[in-house]
Amino acid sequence: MKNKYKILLFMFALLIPPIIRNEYYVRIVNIFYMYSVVALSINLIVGFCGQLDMGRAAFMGLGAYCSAILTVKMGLPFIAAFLISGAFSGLIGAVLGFLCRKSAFDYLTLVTIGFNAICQIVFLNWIPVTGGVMGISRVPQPNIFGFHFDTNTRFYYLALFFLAASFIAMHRICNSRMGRAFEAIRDDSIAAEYSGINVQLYKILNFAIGSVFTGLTGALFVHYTQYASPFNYTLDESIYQLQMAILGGLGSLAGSLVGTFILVVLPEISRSFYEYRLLFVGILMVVMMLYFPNGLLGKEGVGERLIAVRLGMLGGKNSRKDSGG
Amino acid sequence: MLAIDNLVVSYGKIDALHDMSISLEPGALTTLIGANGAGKTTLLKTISGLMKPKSGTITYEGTSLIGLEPHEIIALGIAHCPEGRRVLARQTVYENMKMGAYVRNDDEVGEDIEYFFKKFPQLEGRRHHLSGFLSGGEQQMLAICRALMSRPKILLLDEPSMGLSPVLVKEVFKIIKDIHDEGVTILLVEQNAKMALSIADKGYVLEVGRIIAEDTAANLMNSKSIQDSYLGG
Repeated sequence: MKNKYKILLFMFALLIPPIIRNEYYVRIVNIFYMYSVVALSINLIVGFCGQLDMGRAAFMGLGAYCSAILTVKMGLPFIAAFLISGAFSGLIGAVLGFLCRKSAFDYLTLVTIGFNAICQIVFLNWIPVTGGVMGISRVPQPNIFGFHFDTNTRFYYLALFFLAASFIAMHRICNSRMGRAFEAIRDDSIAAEYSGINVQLYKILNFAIGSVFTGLTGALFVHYTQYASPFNYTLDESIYQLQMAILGGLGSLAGSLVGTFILVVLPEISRSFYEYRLLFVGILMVVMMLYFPNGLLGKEGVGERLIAVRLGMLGGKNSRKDSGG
Repeated sequence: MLAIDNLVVSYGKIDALHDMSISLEPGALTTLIGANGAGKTTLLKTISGLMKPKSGTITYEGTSLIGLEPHEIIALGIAHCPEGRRVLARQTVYENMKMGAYVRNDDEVGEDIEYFFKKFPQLEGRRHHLSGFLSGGEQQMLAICRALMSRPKILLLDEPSMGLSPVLVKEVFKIIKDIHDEGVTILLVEQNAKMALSIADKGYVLEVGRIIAEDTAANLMNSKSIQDSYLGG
């Protein structure tokens, strides 16, 4: 039943470019799709495993620079550079995860913020490799076995495929044996250890897998914008991405898409209010904390409240308790 | 079956356990009684690998447990049911049970879960409830079931009576006795000395990190000094 809706949604998504026929809007949707994958990777790390990572933009940057350097300076084809970037980002994620394997919650957050700052400094100052402030320009557009994704509409299908594949992969991971271990670590890492879960190993795995997806997105992004800039991968960017995952609901994959949609598409629609973007986000966050502390599609979110209303048992905070979980 | 010799465990510079030696006989229910801060929980945590000893040996069926990680020790057949229950509050009863079988890779996990549901009908009715919403007694049953789901040979129980009403304490002790009757070796740590000694075969009395008495449970029950200090005269 649920799968049928997903397939319908996918079919509808296939038809979006011919329907809206506006390059600018298609471009926004493309960006929405790519950020969605970042939000999904954040959800995997923060929402499912409970590790508050505030340095995701650094991994996007690693993927982006890796792919840009491989294609521009070494002449590798897009698809190879794209895949290598994902692997590279995942490897760095595993190393960082290894270093943080014993760090408690808040220390891990500080380490990731620090890592983001380090990456930023490396991007800016390793001029022979990263081009410093100038960044790397003329990054080739994606080209898979001779097919050029050179228009927004063509790229749309690549981005859609990337998002769908990532979503399915994440869904599989979260519902696997490994996903259950992640959730146990989030809920109570000591109890997880008592249950025989190798907590340190799974923390490293979680970080590595999340980083693969973030790195792939960074790479795809850089081939879309054709320019790698060191100013795109700052702490501000990381926090903005984190907001996408939190807004939609940690622990809900579909929520990540909704959160990203709100934070990417709405500011674009109201372009004339762009200056007030942060104000809008701030107010939104306060309202969310008050009414949907676990995000729109998280626990006690919109979905569960609708069900509660339908069952005529809206009991505010206790609705979950009343409906028996 | 499990032999601990001259174990020293410390928190920083302070030794919590001094030169402790304990042995568990196969199939026996051994209890460790003592006041707060005597080192009971520290001992269990050290056996299950959550704390590393400063010196001494822990040998389980001929293999040394020193240096093994908690998940490896569980896989060897030593399950730990922690103090304060520590159920995964945001997961359902069923998911918690399944989590207990994490180290197993046979296909009888489902059957075992049904077996425990049959044994504990209260949990059966709450199969799909979030375990954070269970009562204290139900959570304790769930925590014990979760530990048993790894099919342990030795079960370490840390203060199963903590925070439970007297009626529930009786019920939980009955469950522990049942598990013991099924052949699981149990190390029970308790502050409720009277209850613990009444079901145990053998007891150790712990005081500030040292064992001050070791005897059969019946003898300890009848000992004057133990009665004065632990059994309320």
